[in-house]
Amino acid sequence: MGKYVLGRIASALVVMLLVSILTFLVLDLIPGNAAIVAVGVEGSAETLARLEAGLGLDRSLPQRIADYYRGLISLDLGTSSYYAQDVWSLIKQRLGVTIPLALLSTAISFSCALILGSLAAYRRGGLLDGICRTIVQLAGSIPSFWLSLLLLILFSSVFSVAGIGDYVPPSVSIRGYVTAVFLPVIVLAVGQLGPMLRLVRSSMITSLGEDWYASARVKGLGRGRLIFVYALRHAISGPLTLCGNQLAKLLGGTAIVESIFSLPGLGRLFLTAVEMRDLQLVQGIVIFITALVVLMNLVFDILVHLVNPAADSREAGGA
Amino acid sequence: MARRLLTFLILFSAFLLASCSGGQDDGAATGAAGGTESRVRMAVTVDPDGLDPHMSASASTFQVTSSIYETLVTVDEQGNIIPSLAESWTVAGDGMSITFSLRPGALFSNGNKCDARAVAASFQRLLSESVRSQDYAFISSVEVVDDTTVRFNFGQLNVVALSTFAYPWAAVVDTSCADDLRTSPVGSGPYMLSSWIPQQSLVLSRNPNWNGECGIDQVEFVMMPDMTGQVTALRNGQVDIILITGDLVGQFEDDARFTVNALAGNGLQLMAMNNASAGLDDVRVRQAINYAVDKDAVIEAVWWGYGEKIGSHFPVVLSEYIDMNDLYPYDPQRARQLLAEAGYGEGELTLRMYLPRSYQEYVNAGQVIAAQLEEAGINVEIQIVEWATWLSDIYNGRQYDLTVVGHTGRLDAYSLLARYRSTAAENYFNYSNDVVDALLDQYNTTVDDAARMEIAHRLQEILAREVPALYIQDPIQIYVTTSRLEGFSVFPINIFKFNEMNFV
Repeated sequence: MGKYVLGRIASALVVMLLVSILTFLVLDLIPGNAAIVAVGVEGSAETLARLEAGLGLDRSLPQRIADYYRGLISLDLGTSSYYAQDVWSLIKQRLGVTIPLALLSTAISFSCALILGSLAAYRRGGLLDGICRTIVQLAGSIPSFWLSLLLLILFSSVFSVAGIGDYVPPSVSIRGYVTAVFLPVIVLAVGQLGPMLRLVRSSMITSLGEDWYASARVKGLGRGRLIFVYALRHAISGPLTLCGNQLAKLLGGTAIVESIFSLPGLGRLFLTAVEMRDLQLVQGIVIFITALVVLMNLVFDILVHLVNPAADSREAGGA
Repeated sequence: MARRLLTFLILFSAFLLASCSGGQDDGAATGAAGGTESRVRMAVTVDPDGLDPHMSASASTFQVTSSIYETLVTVDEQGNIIPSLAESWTVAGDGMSITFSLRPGALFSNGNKCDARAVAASFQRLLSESVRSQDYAFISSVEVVDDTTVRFNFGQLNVVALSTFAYPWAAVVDTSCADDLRTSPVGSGPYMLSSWIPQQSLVLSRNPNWNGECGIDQVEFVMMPDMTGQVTALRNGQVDIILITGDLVGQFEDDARFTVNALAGNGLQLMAMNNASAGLDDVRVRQAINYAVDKDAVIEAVWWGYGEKIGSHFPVVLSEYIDMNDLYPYDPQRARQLLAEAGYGEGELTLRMYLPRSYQEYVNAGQVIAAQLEEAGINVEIQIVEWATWLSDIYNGRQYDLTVVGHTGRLDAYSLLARYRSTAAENYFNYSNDVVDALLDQYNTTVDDAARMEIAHRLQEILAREVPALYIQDPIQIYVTTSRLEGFSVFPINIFKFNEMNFV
């Protein structure tokens, strides 16, 4: 196990290096730089030249890459050219929004999918199965920006709930924090529910159709215990892996929902960093998210292993 | 087994939650509003890019820094120069120097003296390090006459010198903390920075060393990128000031809880044409385009009528403005005729129009204009590009035929029109006219006000005739505030004076 983890960490470092070099190249290829954006249409050419020199943009690409990695080795992600603040402290500020948002919405969609999907699989073709199919269709086709706006208007204007779109850190007011985060969590959970529910249902159908299930039934094991413990354990590796992927996707991919609810999350920071061509900040976020995604995959691989140790050996061609 | 898994999950989430709540503490102080303190909250879409006025070129920075720092002089709502840090000033007879008398006893927010020596040091920094230093190259030396008197000597005559001291980028900073001003600003204005969490909020509190008027104790800029979010926040009392688009006026107009302030800015919006590209290098084609577009319809469709139609590159609010709207009225027939004269039959001219994605109003305007040009027999290929790309390829790279964009206000005709000089780097129209070049040279050295006014009129007229661009409108900005807020106003260079506001 230890060797396996070390190997994964080594490959993670290689992935991070490749991703960050790729980011450098892409940002160098696309038009515009931080100075051009800062000057806009009202500054003079001299202003532009001075800003470019000040940001070190007049140096060659290899020079800039070398400088960047020199900083990275000493664990310094650099300073954001737009915010004039330390990149790591900017990222750190966002985690209180982004991580709970990702975890909570994934937890909600995952548990709903497990319960509904298992029951739907058990009573295939029944009423609940029909409802689930409708949910899969609906949740999969509702755009998150539309649902966000709808909920925002509904709760804010119709029900007059105050505090939506007014982010407060939990250390200041738990109530304010929950009000600000509640709706975005729902929107994100709905967005993930569709594919998750479908996968749980289909894996459960496979699992319930296997031989051991029939013999366990004959032996007289309780139905609830059978479905939710034994069958689900067999069926869960697929959904768990998907869960990990969805969680990883949410870490940087919630910019739209964050913008509508004015949440200071990582996705919005990333979007602004790219728009402003804030190279240091883009790099910092890319490296951070890559690291987190790799870590997340590792954690979920271990989870799959813990829940169902047989999965590995079976996939390897054993039983 | 299941229990072990559960324990692991709980520990894992607890770890993540714990690791992230730590970073929030610095900003915690901004959350709850103080009991008797008056705080005005304004929704803005983007953060400032640092708070050092000498090192920034972005409007989002100046809208914050103009409350933290003072300029020597400032402007009133009409754009007249009025005292600020300087109580009075005298311009030398030959126009080659200005002497300012400073407010005695002025202090920076950190307690340092803001005297003539500090002002001179700040301007030395502006001249040698600022991104705008070129704009102040006419200053040859800064002399400290006594504690409250400072004299600027000019190396070359600049008739609009006084107004250059009013721009927010000429603010007086405490040079003893120059290196940290971007994140820890120190000025002599009514407010000082109390906290700033990017993309969340920036809070200013009263500067204890400020002795002037101050009706509001705290100012909070709340970053809200989405318009729906801003509107609901205003309705729920989470913010006090928002900037809206014309379509939303209706829902606030008849509501006693809100005040709608429609204020003429001194910016302008236009469709630029690349005067060097095939077809557009012929003045008849550019005139045809002006005849083909119904500006009133564009203003109605895109800005819901909130804007003043213009016929030249000049905002309506400036005193030098002359009305050139009658030159090319909407006349599609005449447009076709001119196109035919220039050798382009129906559908024979194809133009590429690039529109900046971040500015929905310019995208909309471009699409309406394109439809009208198609009706006059010109093919338009629209491409929507990201803002940074637009700046790089279209504005700086000049690879385009048509594009729609806006310019923000200046206090004098010269800084407004200098971009039409043939050799100017900012001349993205690729416009070239010797007469305009000569007039611009002349303007800057003409001391006589009437003669200068005459030159400004001639420049407007030439641009209106040769139409290097389709000049659309001088936009009207619509701010909605809670009606409890009094004294809200916007000054011609887009600055706010929060200390002159108060709650009733």
